[in-house]
Amino acid sequence: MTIENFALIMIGFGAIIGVITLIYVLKRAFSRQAGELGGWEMAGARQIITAVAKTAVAEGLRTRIASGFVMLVVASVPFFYLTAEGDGTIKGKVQMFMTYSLGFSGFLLALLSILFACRSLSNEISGRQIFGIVSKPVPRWQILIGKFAGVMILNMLLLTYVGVTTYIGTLALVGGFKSNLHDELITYGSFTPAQAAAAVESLENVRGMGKEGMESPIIAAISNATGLPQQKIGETLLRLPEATRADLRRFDELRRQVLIARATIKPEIPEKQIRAEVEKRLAKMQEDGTLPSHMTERQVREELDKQMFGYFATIAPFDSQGWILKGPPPPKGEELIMSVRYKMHVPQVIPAINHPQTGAKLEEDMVLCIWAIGNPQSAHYYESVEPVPARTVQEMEFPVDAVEADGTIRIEFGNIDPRRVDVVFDVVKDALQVLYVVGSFELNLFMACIAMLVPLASLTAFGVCASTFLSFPVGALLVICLYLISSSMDFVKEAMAVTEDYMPDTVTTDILVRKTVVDSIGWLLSIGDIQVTERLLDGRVVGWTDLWADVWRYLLLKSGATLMIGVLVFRRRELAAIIV
Amino acid sequence: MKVIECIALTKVFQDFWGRDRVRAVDKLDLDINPGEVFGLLGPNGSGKSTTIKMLLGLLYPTSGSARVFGKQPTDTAIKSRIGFMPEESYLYRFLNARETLDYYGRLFKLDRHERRRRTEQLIDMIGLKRAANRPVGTYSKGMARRIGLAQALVNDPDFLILDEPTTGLDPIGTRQIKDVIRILGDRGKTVLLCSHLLADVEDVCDRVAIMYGGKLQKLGTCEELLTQNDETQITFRKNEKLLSRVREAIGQNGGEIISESHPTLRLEELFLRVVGQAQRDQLETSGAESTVGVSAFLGGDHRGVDLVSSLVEAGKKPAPGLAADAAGTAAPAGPKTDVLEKLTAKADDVAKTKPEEPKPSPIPSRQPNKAVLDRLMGGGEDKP
Repeated sequence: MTIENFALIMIGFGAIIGVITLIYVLKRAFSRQAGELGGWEMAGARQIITAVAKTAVAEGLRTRIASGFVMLVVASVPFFYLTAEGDGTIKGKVQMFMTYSLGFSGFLLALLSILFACRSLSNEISGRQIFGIVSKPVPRWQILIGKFAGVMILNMLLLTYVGVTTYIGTLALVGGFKSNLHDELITYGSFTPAQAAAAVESLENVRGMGKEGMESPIIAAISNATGLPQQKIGETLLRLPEATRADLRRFDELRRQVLIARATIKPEIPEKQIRAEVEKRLAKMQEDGTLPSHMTERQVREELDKQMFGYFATIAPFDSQGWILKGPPPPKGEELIMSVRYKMHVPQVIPAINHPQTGAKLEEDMVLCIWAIGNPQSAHYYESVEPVPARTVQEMEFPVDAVEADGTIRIEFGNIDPRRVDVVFDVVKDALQVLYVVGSFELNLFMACIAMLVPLASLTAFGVCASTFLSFPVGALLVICLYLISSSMDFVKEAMAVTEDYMPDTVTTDILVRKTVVDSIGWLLSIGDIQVTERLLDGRVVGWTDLWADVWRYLLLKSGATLMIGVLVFRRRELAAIIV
Repeated sequence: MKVIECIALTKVFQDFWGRDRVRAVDKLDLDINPGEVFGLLGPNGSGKSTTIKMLLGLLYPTSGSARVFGKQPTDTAIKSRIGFMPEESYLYRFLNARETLDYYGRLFKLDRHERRRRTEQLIDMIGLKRAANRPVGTYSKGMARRIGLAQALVNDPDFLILDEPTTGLDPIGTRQIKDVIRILGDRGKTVLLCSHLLADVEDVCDRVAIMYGGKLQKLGTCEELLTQNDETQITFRKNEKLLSRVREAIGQNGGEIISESHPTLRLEELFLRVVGQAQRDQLETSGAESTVGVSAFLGGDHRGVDLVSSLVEAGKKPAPGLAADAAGTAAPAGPKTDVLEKLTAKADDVAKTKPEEPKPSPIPSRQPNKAVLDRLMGGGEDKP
């Protein structure tokens, strides 16, 4: 038996079990004469839902098993604060702390949502408290929504706690670094306390890109704040311990790249047109019979793809390329900086020469180019002409007002290097991005916490739905399994060999079945798209647009549908039924 | 319109594979009229609880139909008129008494003010004022039953369903349940009392149905079912001379004396007196306090004169011995003319008048009656 056949047999086996289970559940649900009648009127629904939710919250806080979980969440954040180390620098510490406090809390809260949601209702059914509720004028959908709301309120309370403690922890880590720096400036740098305080304060106002050595904007900022000459500041900083000096740069990175909310925008790639062009060329090659005999059609297509996307991203000597990027509108009335982050690729080593016209020296592997940002017709148009290093990630800063009111950003790149080199931007692989500050870290953390609620809501809905027909440990284990599968979907895809990389030239039925099964499971089990922790670590904004997309897709559609299924099952369910 | 109308109501429980296994209720025809206190009797497993659960929409009939207030039991619209006390108190262990009643009040969409009023009155009535802030999970069984009663009354129901209401309750609680039933009955409410404690049913029910094996075995009013028309009982003050003359007269006229005994006090009444005395002596209790009376919003007045005290008061007057007082009070008392009812209904009037003396139930008549019930129930194993 081949591996493929084995996989197919297992999938078939799983499908049969699934279908039998479904038939059994449906038979049980619909075999009785009646289900609940009426109860769809909205009058008084709020009061009942509130009452059920309130009791669910009380259950979460007062029963031992549940409150144990709550205590675990409460204790975990301070624990991570105390143990945060990372790579030892201030940036590493903060990032490590945020990763663990948000990541671990997210995981705990997911488990908590599942356990609560599955336990609350099914315990009520097995403990028969439900008799006292259903015999009152309480429509069953209101009980389910009440349970859902109760668990979500608990989640919100805990997330608020996690958000606030994470914020305080971050501030404390930064504060620790600053007070340490303050002391060291006095001890090693013989600053007066006032100068030290001013110097520390000035770190928040460093502008411009981080350059090495004496040109560092950090030195400029400290010099500005203390009134001491830059030379002296440089010498003073050299006397500080190596770790502190590293932390100075790291803190600047932290401030600009982590403790901030930046929108990341990539150029739109006219993918459709490119694909159409590829197909056209492929057809022409087939027509002319010029297809290389040693390549399959798929390989030729890939090759053409590469070429075409390459054209799109390659700027020939003395040529220029414009990109239009769409992002969220920038905040108004703030003097903020936006960065263009790019990585230029040049096919060969370019020797150092003097510019034929200006006579300026052009270093090896530095490309003379023009970057222009903004609408040339408007007042907020910026140009920069200078040689920049190739093959490394560069960040260029511009005032944020170059972004147009509707969030459009025009970027123009001109390749004016006299050595006539091709410049390539691999735009598909993030070689050109615009980052600009759209908000504060506080706001981003808040948004991140809201975004964290979305998957929790999905899990809660799964749990509540499961509890309408499964008893406590069974339902919870099922949903936990679903959660674990959904969070390891990438792994599952690789295990089932259905990722892009694994797809062979000819797609067989077996692969198609596997891919379809894995994709649909992935779709069914997905609980949220926003990778909250990763975004916060990069200081990338969790924007309203993303959030709304998540809320709409997962909270309203998926959780809504899941709850609806739960309501339908629960309405049919014979609550005092016994199986003899 | 009938409150309950069951036509050929049948419930069959199935096994895992969907095969019929247990016929819990079998073609039950049953009507309950408005204002009736109806007793549903039967040994364990006779289908009483199953019937009740079908009437509440917790179980769906296999065949036949049940109507409550003319509608399907699964219709949420009728449920605001129903109060249900299940056979055990299934409460949230983590809520206290006050929160529990408030929660159930919310489920009836009562406003905050009304909820608070009713909660306080009910807690007063069931005597859990001191324990009201303790989680229900720490309560004894009887205390939890009291909460069960209170939650069934929170909406002042038109139709009260009590499933084994007195199990786990002390005699005071039992008495209270009976008082509630009587008062609600007097207010024209309908009560369905399901029990295998025959004395409880006998005391309060207008009509009784006896079930066995899921089928209706006997249905009728208590009087119809219990009166033995071929025997007569006379109770009079002890007088040996008169007694021997009565015996003589019976013998001379060809009559036959079947039994002869002194009336005894019912244990329930004795218990009420002893506890009443203790309460008057103000002994501390962490359990349920003995209160008597029914919440004002249910038609009683919880401020009414304490029955137990009044009983003790009354008992003290004629003679020191409790048994002797009771024996000494000659009154043709039946359960219907209870002191409490008057006391609670018109508290102020009663406060002025001298409390009535306790009236012993006609014990001699009870014994044959019970035998009848037992016979009817096929010698059911349930002890009254």
